[in-house]
Amino acid sequence: MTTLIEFFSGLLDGCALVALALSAGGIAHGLVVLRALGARSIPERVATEHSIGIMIVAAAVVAGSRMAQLAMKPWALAGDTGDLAIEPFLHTDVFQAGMASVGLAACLSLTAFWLRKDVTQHGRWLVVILALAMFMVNEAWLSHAASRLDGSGLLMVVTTVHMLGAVVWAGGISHLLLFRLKGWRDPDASLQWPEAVGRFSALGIACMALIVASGLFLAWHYVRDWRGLIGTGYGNMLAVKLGLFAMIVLLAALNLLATERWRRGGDAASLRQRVPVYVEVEVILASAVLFTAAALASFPPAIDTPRDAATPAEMWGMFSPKTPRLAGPEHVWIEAPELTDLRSGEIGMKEDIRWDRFNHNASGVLLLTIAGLALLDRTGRVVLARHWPLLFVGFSILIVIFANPDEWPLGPLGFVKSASNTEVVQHWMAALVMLGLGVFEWRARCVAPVGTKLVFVFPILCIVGGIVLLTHSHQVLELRREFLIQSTHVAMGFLGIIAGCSRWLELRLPGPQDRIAGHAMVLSLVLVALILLFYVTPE
Amino acid sequence: MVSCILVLLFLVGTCAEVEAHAILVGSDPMHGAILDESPPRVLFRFNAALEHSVTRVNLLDVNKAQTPLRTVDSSIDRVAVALPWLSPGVYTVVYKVLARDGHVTEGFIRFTIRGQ
Repeated sequence: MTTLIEFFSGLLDGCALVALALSAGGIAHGLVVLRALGARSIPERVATEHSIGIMIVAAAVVAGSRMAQLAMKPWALAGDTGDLAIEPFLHTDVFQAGMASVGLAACLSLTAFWLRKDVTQHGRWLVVILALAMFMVNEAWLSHAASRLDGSGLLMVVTTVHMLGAVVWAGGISHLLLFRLKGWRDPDASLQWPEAVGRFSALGIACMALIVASGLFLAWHYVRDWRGLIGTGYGNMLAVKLGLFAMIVLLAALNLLATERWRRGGDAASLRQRVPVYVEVEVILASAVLFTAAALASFPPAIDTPRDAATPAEMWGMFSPKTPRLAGPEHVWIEAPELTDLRSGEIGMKEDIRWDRFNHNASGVLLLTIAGLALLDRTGRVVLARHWPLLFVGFSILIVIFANPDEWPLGPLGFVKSASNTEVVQHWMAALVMLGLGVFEWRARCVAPVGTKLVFVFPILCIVGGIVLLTHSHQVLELRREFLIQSTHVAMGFLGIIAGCSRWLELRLPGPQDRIAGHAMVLSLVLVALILLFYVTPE
Repeated sequence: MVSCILVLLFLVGTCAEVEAHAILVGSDPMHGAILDESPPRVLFRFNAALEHSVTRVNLLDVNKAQTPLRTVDSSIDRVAVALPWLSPGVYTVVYKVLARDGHVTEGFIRFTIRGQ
């Protein structure tokens, strides 16, 4: 019950984070990009009011999410007999900071509503900024830094700065994209696109400076050394976050170059054709980074688990080339401590882990075949190769049947019991993503007419699939073994996101960049296939 | 479409917060310990500050009988609970704590008391 409630609480936390980004980003977009205080024209005011309208709703969503999280907490804390600890919970710092968060978010929504009535008033903007500042300061008491035993005060400050930089940037670029999308229907707004991108660049650089400076401090405090970065779950997720952030910086640099070119020569072609596509991918990557940040919170900091950090040799053992195990698994049942019944102490049984290796290695063969056919299809010489997406359907069936042999449909546990296991559900979600990948991409390539929107399903599902892999949860017990398994899934999740973004760029960019992006997608698929092919389950 | 992607990404992404943040970094007796006699208490030490007013600790014996245990001592990251006298057998002590960051952690330690 606790796990399920914490799952929904995490879901609400994500909703609150998105909404907070849209709130903070709305202020930044209104003041820096739209320059609402000096807005003279009607379209400028309308665009600002539209932005503030999103902010009103977003801040209300933050308040609602935080309230729901608080309401769920006594159930998560309840004992097996169902007795709720409501009264003691009311006296905790968690409840008090949570209630303050609800009130301040509601206050932010109301002040934004007041601001929308006249967006040119300095005083109204100041009140809204004050409301946001108070909310952000209060958030420090709900962050992980609040529970640290040493130096929590400084950590809370730096965490808040880091969070502020992230939500202003992610929300700001989301508002920029919404401005562009709205601009397609509003010729007046569309005319301001190059200017809007130029103004956002300055804000983006400032936010990134905040994110990097505070991020380095937090990484030093929570990870400290290279072994912590490479050999622990926390460090691994941090590395993924850095990788995604590096791609955002690369795209942002391209935006900046296009902006500078426009400023010098007035050539806005690149700003109008390529930059909107870069911004779309930046929004996708920003959401992936925020997700990774949420995932990071689910791991104990590397500095707390130095004895459980994997060695470089152990890491190499997971990824190094080796003969794949493609023979059928042996039906041997072994004791599984992770299946221990907490109440009775009975130790569960599950299939030999060699099944697990067979499952991954066989998937590797299948995915390598898919990538090979996709490459062949790009040459245009083999007509049948265009049906390569259909192999993803077989991939999804393989996942459902073999991923959890002790659960439904192969194992003794029924469907309902299996559905309560988070890891099993995540495997099913991955299978569903694979099924979608296959069916939609095959229809887009072989059935649907040219120009169909179906082509966007593949990159979207690649990105979602990558995120499912990044959230692939394992038990906290046996940290080193679980980390070694997780490291391969995290690498595949990261490559899945790269594959999705590459395909998105291939579809949206003009030539010749589209072909480069297409090759990057196939390369990502090949790398995922190789990880699966050489996967070995640690003993 | 962009809105749909964002919603989907965030809904899936937040699955990661299923696990809680506070982890048990030590206990006395240790998990898996084999003891000659019944210990007077169990001490848990975590990596994070706790909200003690909502801490719950229960003792389970092999017959699945459950006994709530009373907190006798606590500091920012530690909880000590008193144990009744235990006869030889295998015992599981299940804890549920709330960290200051709002995450609930559930876990257990198991130890064995062997007969003289």
